[in-house]
Parts: sequence; structure tokens; C-alpha cells
Amino acid sequence: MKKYILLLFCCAITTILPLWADIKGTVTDEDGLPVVGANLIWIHTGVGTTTDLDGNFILPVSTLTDTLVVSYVSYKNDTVVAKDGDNLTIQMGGAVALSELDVAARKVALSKSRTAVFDVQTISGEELCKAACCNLSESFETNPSVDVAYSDAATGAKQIKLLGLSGQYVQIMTENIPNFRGLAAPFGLGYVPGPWMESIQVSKGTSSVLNGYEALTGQINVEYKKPAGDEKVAANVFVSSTARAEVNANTYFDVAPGVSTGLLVHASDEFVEWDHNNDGFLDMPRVSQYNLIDRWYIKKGDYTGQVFARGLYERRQGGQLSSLQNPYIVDIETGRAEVFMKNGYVFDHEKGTSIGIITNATYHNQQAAYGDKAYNADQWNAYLNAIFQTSWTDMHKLSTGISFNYDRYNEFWYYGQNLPENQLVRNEYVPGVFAEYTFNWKDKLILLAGLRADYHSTYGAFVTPRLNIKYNPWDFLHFRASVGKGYRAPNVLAENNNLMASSRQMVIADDLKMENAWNYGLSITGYIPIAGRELTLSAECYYTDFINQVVVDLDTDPHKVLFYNLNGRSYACSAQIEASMEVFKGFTATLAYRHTDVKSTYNGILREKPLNNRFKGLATFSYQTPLKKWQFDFTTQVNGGGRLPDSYMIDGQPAWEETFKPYVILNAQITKYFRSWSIYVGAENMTNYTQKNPIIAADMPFGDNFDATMIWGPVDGYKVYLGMRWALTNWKD
Amino acid sequence: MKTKLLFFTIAFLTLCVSFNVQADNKKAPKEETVVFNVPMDCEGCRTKIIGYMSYEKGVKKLDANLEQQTVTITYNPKRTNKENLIAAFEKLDKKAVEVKQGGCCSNPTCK
Repeated sequence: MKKYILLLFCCAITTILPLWADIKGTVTDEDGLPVVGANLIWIHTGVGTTTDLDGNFILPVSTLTDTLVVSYVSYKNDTVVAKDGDNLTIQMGGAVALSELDVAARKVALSKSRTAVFDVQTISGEELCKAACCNLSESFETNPSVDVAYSDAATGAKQIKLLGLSGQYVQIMTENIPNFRGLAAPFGLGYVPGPWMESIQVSKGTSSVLNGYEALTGQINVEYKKPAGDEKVAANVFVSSTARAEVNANTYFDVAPGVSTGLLVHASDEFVEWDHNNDGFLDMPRVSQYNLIDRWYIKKGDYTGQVFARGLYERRQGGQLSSLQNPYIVDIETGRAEVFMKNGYVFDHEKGTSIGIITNATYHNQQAAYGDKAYNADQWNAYLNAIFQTSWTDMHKLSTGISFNYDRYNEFWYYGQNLPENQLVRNEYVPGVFAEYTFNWKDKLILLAGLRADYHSTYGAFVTPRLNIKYNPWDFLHFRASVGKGYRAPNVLAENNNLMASSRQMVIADDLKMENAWNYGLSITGYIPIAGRELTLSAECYYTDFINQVVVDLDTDPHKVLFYNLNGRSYACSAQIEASMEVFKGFTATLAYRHTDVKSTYNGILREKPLNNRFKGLATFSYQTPLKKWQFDFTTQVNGGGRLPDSYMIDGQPAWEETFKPYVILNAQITKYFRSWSIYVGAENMTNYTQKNPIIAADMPFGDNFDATMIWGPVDGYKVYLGMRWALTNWKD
Repeated sequence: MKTKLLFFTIAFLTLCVSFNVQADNKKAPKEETVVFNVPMDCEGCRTKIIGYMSYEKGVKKLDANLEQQTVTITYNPKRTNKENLIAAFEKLDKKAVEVKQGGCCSNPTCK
């Protein structure tokens, strides 16, 4: 009898025991590395635990639910169903931009990365909303490192400058894929509308070899809004005092588990021809643009995939007022289509072994008329990048891969109605291999060494070495150093065809070689606690030394623009200090000052590069009321003076001055927030500062002295704008 | 000179407004504070609560604590009341229970 009771008792226990089994497991990130301090909470109960130093957790089963919510700062939440005795491996993915998370103290929205080895500054969505920011070219108003300037008064092409060098030496990427190269270079920054952007990363100096060899002074990467998160639909409407109207919208929805799709739409137009300085020329060209992106995200187990397609149509019309007799007209019509696919697969979560394959195809067609000159071209591009990564311990990580880039240019141009027509078809292909090794000693010392070898079908083989070091002996002090090379294949007409808006004759040497330069950088950042808040103070200096450069010579002959290989020294030196802080609750301020010294050898003489600012001072203030109901933003920029190219004489007087003086630009904006929408009103260039006589010989545009490219300051005066943003948010879990 | 004047005027106005708003919060005459116990699973849930409840009519101050699972709201009793606030939480599919002084509550999630 006793035996039976004992047996029954044992059976009872073995059936009951599993009810009190624990759930065990590990939480890892996208690279398979353990996440420390991730929260796991049984849904709607508030009961849970956090992962330990190895990413492991142990949690008793809940009587209320079997759904576990896993969360960690900067990652998208994960929900898993956990049964008794389960042993789970949960991999977090879909890194969420930090700006989406509300933090009790107001984060300075322009933040320098603390952890990245590279000198990366992220411009978050919040920072982009401080200015009118219609597109990427206007997103740097509050950024001390990047300058934006009109490259001429006729086409409205905006160029950026990083470390004193023109935007051509900055590699522009969208979603980590090189973009806006070749034909798209002069106007590409206008192809990304402000509301489409999730964030922008600006890295100075040479960075990773994984994306190619083209970053000589830095990289700018744009992340589009993701088809993820709680914002289901968002729209934005904008009007300005220049009679410009814009509509933007983005939406996304989940199609199936692990599959989501998103759509980004933009349409803009300008309705009036303005000529405030009465020189007969439009102050700014009228631009109409229609832009659309469709993207798909797929996540199934260890595989993540993305398909992205974009179509763009733009028409720019500038030059003289159409009401004049036989006007000088600038008319640029562009069509562009892009498709890319990204595939990622994780083999081993523990070692973080993964492979990523990116393929991209682009077609770009441009028809440009500059008075009686024309440049009509189209470009096909195909790109492949395959990267294999693995880290065999916490200290060592290796990335290696291959890349292939193909460009086909078909260019057709003439410099006058009766002058000969030229045509050139070019095929360029560049296969390459690369490897990058990272040594990480307890996050205190990080060393990144990269090496690339590429073969260019026209210019031959070349090697790109890069080294980045980050050292932070203490949490509050970070040192960074970088040294590396960058290369660029010359593409003179495609990148400079807007210089055709002048009477200058373009003379291009026929023996142009690849541009290449060494870039050295040093920076120090301190995070100093003051009165319970944190002051970020940084100082940096960068030096770019060209071994070969395609010199753009506007001095030797004022009626010509000469393009030839560098014969002598050419360098750009930039030193900057920056301080930013939340001064008191809701009020952030940033102050920065940058000094640049850029010289090149023009016709044997080492001279300052023309149309460059010698220094820049920036002060931005932003105040947000508690509960984020109102926001006030104010920016002031002081742009230093510089020199103009050597001039010729008109009626015994020089056609333009030798130098230009420093000038101040003021911008301000007020935003009112509501639960689902916000309205904003602002003013740019409030002092109405403009460059006097931006167009030389505006009365005779078809004559020998006409030049619309001598631009060093704002061409349009003050601008007032009004806009509205609305988003349909999913408030429920 | 014109530029400098404009610059200082705007900077001054900005500072004035910000100090004014701060001052308003200190001398608020009629307002009440209530502490709710609200289940929040993660940082994202807390963000949504702040993003939604901040714009609720009558809400003047809001603080959400993830660890203690509480939301503290200071509101204008003429424009809203505790029932309205609880109804607002319901729109988020969240059950808010008031935490009475000196003790826990009937909500089993309370710590």
C-alpha cells in the first residue's frame, strides 16, 4: 500500500514540476553578440527580468500570459511566446534611431557618436525639423561642419563643402549604398526630400573601406524613413514666400508576418518668376519635381532582405525672364530610376558570422540647355558589394568582401549653335577586393585597419589603405585619429556642366589621371558634467593632401575654365571647435567655430582656392516647452570672406571685386505641436543679405563677358515659409 | 548694426518666452496631481504614453516611471478630471488605476 502511495506521489510531483519550470535563454543583437541589460517582461504584467553580462536570463513562468516582450534601447521590441522549460535565443534586430525614443532630458539632436571609431555626427529627424529643410541640400543649416552654397546663379545647383573641400570629394550614400555619382553629382542633393529622411550621418576623414574608395574628405549617409515603427502614415505640406509648394507623404503597412512595405512620395513646384535685383535674370530657377520610392522589407529567421525602387522626374527652368525678347534660358530636364536589393544572412549568432550582398542598378538621363550651349547625357550604373563578417572573440572582428562597379556614360554636347557637336561614350568597370580588421580592447581602445585593392578599366590598379583609432581612457574623454587614402576617377563634364552657364570656354586636358589624396585627422571630445547636465566639447583638425587633383582653374584665363592635372601642392586644412549642451530644461545651445585654409597650385602658383570661406561661426539655440507643445529655433551663421578668381576688364574696370567680405545669415522657426500634427512657420536669411550683382554682364548673356558662376553668397534674399506635418500613429501596442 | 540689433532682439525674445513659461509652472494656482499605476512593458510603451497623454486636454505636467509602473499627472481640475484621464488611457488599451496614498492597490501588477 505504501509503495502505491509513494508511486502516486512521485507521479504527481513529476506532472506538477513543469508548471514551475523557468524560461531560460539568451538575447543577442543583429551581429549575434550578447545584449547585456535587455528587458524581458511578461506582456501587460510589469513582471520580468534583465539579461546578465553574457546576455543570459532566467525567468519564472507567468500565470497570466505566455507572451514575453523583449526590449532594449535603440532596438525594435520583440515579442515571443514562451512555454514552460523553453530555452530561447532571441535575436534583436531593426535598430531604431535613438531620436525615436523620448528621453527625460532633452537630447541635443545633433549628436556625435560616442561609440563609433569614425568621427560620425548624426543629424536626427528632430534636428532636420528645426529648419525648412526641403531637401538634403538644405539639411545642414544647423551643422557647423558642412557648408552649403549655390554653385551658380542660373541652375540653382547647391554644392556642399566638407572640411573646405567641394562636395565632389565627399562620398554621398543613401542607405549605405554610394549614390548621386556622375551625372547626378551637380543636383543630386535635391533629389532627397527632407520629410523622407530618418537621419543623416556625416563622417569626416576617411572611414571604412567597405563602401569603396571614393571618400576623400568624408562620407554623408542618408537613412530613409523605414517601413517599421508606429507611424503608419505621415504627410507634410509646405509653402514659401517664393511661391513654392510641396507635398510629401509616406506610409507603410505590414503585408504578412515579417514582410512590410512602404511608399514615399514627393511633389513640388514653383509658380512665379522672381527678379528682385532687376538684372533680368530669375533669382532662382523654378524647379518642379516628382519623386517616388517603393520599398519592401522581409525578415524570416536568419535572413533579412530589402528591395527598393525609386523614380524621379525633375525640370529646372532658369535664366532670363521669359517675358524678355529672345531670352537666355537654362532648361534642365532629368529622369532617374534606381533599384537596389540588400540581402543579409546570419550563419552563426555567437560568432556574429554573417554575409551581406547588395546589388544596385541606376539609370539617369539629363537634357540640359544653357543659353545656346547644351549638354545631353545618360548614365547606366550597376553595382555589387558582397561583405562577409565574423568576429571570433569580443576583441577581434574581420570583414572582407568583393565589389564591382560598372558605369556607362553617353555624353553629347556643344558650346554654341554653330560650333561642332561632340559625343563621347565611356564604359568604366572597377572590380575590387577589400578587408577590414577591428581590434577592440574593452571598448577603451578600438583600432580599425582597412585595405582595398581595385582595378579601374581606364586608370589601372590602385590600393586604398585606411586606419582609424579610437581611444577613450575614461568615459568622459574620447580621442580619435585617422589616416587614409581616397581616390576619384575624373568626370569633368558630368560634374561641372553647370559651369556652362557662362561665356567661359571649357578646356579639358586629355591626359587626366585619377584624383587621389591622403587625409589625416585628429579629434578630441569631452563630455563634461556641469550642474547636473552634460556639456559636449570637441576640437578637431583635418588635413587633406592631394597627390593628384583635377584642378579647376578659373584664374589663368578669365574667359576660360581649365581642367588639368595638379602640378605642385594642393591641400585643405580645417580646424574646428564645437560646444553643445542642454543649458536648462528644454533649452539646447550649440556654438561652433571653424577655420579653413585651402590652397592649390594654379598655373604654377600656390594660391588660395577661390570662392571659399576662410572661416565659419555658428550659433544655434532651441527651446522646447514642457510636454513639447511649442518649439522655438534660432540659428545664426557667420561666413568668412575669401577671394574671387582673377577678373578681366569691362570698360576699364575689373568686372568683379578681388575679395568678398564676411557675411551673416539669420534663420528662425516656430513650431506648435499637437497630438497627431504640428504646424511651423519660419524665416530664412532674415537680414535679406544677398550678393550684389551675382551675374556678370547680365545685360548681354550671349556675349563674351557673361558669367553666372562667380557666386560666393546667397542669391535669393529673405524667405518666409509655412508648413504642416501630420502623422497617423498606432498608439495601441 | 541692424544685423546685431535683430540678432539680440530675437535671442532676447526667445529667452524671455522660455523664462516666462518656466515661471508659469512655478506659480500655477489651481492644479491637482494624481498618480496612476499603468502597466508599461518597455521603453517604447512609456514613450507612447508620454506622446499621447501630453496633449490631453488640461494636462500640465506629466512624468512616467517605467520601473515603478506609474504615471504622475498634474492637471487643471477645471478642464479635466481623473475619470477623463482614465478614459484617455483606455484609448491606448491601458488600464490606469489610481494609486491611493499610503499603500498599494488592487491592481495585481503593482509592486
